[in-house]
Amino acid sequence: MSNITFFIALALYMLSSGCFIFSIGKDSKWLLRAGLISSLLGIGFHSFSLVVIGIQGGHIPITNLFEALSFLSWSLVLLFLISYLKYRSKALAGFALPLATIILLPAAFSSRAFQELPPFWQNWWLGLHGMSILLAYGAFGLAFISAIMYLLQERQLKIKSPGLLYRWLPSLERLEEINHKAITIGFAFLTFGIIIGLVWARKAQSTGWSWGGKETWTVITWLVYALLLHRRITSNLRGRKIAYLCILGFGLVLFTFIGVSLLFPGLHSFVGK
Amino acid sequence: MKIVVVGLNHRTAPLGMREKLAFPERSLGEALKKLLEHQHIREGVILSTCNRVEIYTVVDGFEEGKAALKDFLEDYHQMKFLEIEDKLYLYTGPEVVSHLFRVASSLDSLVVGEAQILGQVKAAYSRAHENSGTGKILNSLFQKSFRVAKEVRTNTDIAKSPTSVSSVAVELAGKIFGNLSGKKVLLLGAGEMSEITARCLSSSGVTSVLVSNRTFSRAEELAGKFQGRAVKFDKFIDEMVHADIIISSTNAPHYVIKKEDILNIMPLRRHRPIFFIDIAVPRDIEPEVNRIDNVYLYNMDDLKAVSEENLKLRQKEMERCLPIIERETAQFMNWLSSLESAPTIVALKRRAEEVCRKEVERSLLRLGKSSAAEREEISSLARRLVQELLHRPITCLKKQAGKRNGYLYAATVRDLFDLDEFEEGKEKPSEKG
Repeated sequence: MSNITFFIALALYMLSSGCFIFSIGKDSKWLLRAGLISSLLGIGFHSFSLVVIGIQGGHIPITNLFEALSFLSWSLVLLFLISYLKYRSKALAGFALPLATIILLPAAFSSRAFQELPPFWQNWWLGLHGMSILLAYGAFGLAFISAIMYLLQERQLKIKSPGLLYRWLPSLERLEEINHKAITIGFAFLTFGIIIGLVWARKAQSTGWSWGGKETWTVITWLVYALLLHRRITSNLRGRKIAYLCILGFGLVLFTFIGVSLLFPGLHSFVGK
Repeated sequence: MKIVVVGLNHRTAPLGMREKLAFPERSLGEALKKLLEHQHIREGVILSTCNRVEIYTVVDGFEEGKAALKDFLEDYHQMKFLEIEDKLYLYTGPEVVSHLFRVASSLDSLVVGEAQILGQVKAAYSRAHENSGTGKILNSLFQKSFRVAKEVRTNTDIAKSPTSVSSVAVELAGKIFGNLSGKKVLLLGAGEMSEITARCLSSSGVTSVLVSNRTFSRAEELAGKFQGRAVKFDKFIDEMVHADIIISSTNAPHYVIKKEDILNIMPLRRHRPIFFIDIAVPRDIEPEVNRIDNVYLYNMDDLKAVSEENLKLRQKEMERCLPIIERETAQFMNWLSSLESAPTIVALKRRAEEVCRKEVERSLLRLGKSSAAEREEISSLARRLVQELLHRPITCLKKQAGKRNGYLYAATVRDLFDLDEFEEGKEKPSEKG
């Protein structure tokens, strides 16, 4: 059941991506509407599949690579849809849905198997910890997209031959605003997730912080986004430099999320691989 | 009855000749009167702008109409028709219709998609209307052309990307700053071009305007027009800390703004983006400025290049407009040909039969039981009444067919009996104004 809805969601995201990409340079309300409707339907099926997995496995669906990728993609689409309520940016849609699809694609080929979790895993702390960090990653994904869009638009303006991209992309100010909001939200979730993880580790294992691969890289990621926010608020980092930092930050996110799990097995490795 | 247009435009004739044939605004009424005095000209509209002179007419027949127009032009402008004949175009029938639709939709303009022409066509039409130059046909034709122009503008991108230098600048500012409200403009030099651009910006939401000029009084004068503030010329660099858009058009022979100046002020601006528009020749702003982060510099050539790109885009967009023009032309021609006597007679007869049939049915229903003979008598009574009543109008229509006022009879009959509404699938161009 969850598998069918998962694939329906994936197909709908692909359809939606296609609509948004195909609408570049055309002023087609029809395509835009089709893209939005299929992304809304997609997230509906996607949520359903996550809930079913959660109920069947008796845990929040973020324990193996399949579930985590699926959840990350879900949070990206969710955050994009929320942003769409305010900004109505079809260009953002043209990036967000393809990225969510790209994240979801490898999930289609990963193992769904999960093992029984040791007792101390089975509580809401794990869910809260994992979910808020994955939501943070989703927000950073959105920030990453807006950073790329910013760089493209900035380039168009600097080389002075504004073309198709120039007309399609929103203004620089708008992109900066989206970027800033996404990072603020992502940073809040990340911080919250880390704190929950710490408190819970102390309670469950009385070990507190352990310097595993994932923990270390998460701290590095956190530091990059903290620096970025700090520089933007207090002093004068704007424009391209912020965009580059966002791209670096998201690179770290991806590395921490996937690379580290594969390279440094430990507490945070996905189970059931 | 035929519709004919004669005219020349920026493509067929040089400016000098267009000027010679132009009808100045103040004497347009008089010209219209003269035009309508010709015995073969029934209706007329004169459209005279700096890019085109066109006379739209309804004439009795093509040859008479052509001769009348030739007389009118020779007479009014005191010239030999032969001198200009090869520069003129002369259309008739559907070509007139599609030509006017193209003109009103700005597809025939020098700058495709520009907004002015529609206003000019409207003005030309209302001048003719005031002078009783328009009747049944030109009223419909021009009213329809306004609707076609509106449809073309809203359903295609023909007027979307800006083409004038100042509107290109406004659009660029929009792509940098998003919302322009609350943004500050600083004008360096009080030239006309910078005033136009500033006006465009302030109508797009820019709220405060600063003006700096070597002659301080001129700065004050221009600032007054925008309820802005004048700034001493040696102080303008300081103002750049707060201004977001700088339009420079001084007469200085050297750079007024150098890269170091901007490098110094950017930290003070907290690196908020700044947009320089350099419309001075020679340039006022060192080109290297564009290399600084969050600084965007466009000079006159850059703006022109963008505008040319946009113009190419509009020309491409024309392909999407043509089907609209074709469809509407066909529809108008349909309506026009329905003004001929024969189709009007057919429609009138059908209308009468319809009324007859409906009323007979109703009477029979009310009567209830009746013999076949009674029923036959009732329906033949109805038929006779209708035939008797329509006999006169139909003979009259037949008699007028092909005569110069024939279409007016047909049009009147169509109006009286509401035949356009009655005939399915034929849209009737509405007639307001």
